[in-house]
Amino acid sequence: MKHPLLTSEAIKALSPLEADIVRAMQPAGKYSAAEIYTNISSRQKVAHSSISVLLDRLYKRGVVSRETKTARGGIRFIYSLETNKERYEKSVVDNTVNLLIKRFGAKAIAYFNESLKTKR
Amino acid sequence: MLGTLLDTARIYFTQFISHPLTLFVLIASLFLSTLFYFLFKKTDQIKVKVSFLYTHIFFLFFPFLFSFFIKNCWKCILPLCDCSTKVLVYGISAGIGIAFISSFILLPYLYTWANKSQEVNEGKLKGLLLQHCQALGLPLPKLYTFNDLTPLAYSITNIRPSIFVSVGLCELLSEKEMEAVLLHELYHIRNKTSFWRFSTHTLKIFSPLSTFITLDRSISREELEADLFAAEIQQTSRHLDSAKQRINRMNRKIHEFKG
Ligand SMILES: [Zn+2]
Repeated sequence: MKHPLLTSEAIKALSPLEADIVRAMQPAGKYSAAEIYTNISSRQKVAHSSISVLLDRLYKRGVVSRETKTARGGIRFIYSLETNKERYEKSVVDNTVNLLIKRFGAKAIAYFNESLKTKR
Repeated sequence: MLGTLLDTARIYFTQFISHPLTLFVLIASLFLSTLFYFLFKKTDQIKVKVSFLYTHIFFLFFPFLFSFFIKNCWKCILPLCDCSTKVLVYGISAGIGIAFISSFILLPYLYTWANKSQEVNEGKLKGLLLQHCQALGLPLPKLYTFNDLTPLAYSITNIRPSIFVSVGLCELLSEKEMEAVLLHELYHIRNKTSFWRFSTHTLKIFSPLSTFITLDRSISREELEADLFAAEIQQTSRHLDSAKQRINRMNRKIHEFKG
């Protein structure tokens, strides 16, 4: 099943490891950081803490949402892909723009300026 | 506006020192305030220290309270200034009072409220807390988690004893390491450290003498004692040490990805 909000453009705006994390999650699935770590570490060498930190970053950018679960095993975050379309679209735009600015700096900003002028 | 206020203050002060009764109150209060400040500095026991501190601040402000509540001064101060100055003077006093009280009650909760704190009522962590509180004869504090990956733990005693741990900390540490953290916080709760810290902040705001003392030393000693307490109950400092190592490593990782 393909996530309706996760287009290839959206994935391009993520770092390679962030994209791996997002791909490891099913649209309706709920995952702990440990589960995602187990999934990804079977294919590549990665630190558990890196997965946790990147999930936190994806959460803060609105790509994934999370809730706290208190179970017998302990207290942990349970992550799922963001399903709120508005929040998600905003996160995609934010990520894409940030990526462009990071890669092209002043050139990207000049381009946005130009295209805004012509659209007016 | 400021000029009027300064004038009022000057007249007020002149009235204050020209009357033998108010002058006596002023000198006696300042003397007692200084005395309690030195007693505060000399004692090591936290409960005594905090009570000396509050007595010190009380006597520092007593002359003002006194003058507000005797009729003579009401008469002598009220006709001297215009309405807006009065509003300003009382407004500022009321504002300080409200800020003081609300920061005491609300501030500790504000951070966790912003981070969606949840009370923990089940699970191993709560069980451990219950077990240690019973063994130590302490009332059971509330246990909260809050939505943050950064490994953090702290406790407050202001209204009712509570321990806050970030979900990131719970994910990071083993059960034994979490137990060490809880014991460390229990020591703070037993000693009312958060109340003590709050009081030292109060001192910094309200007492002019506070610039001459360093509070960091007693705080770091308190931290050391809390660690020793945890190690004593666990009969080893291994878990506490490994918890600290993990926390440091995680903080470095978080920092690394931020940059
Ligand atoms: Zn501490």
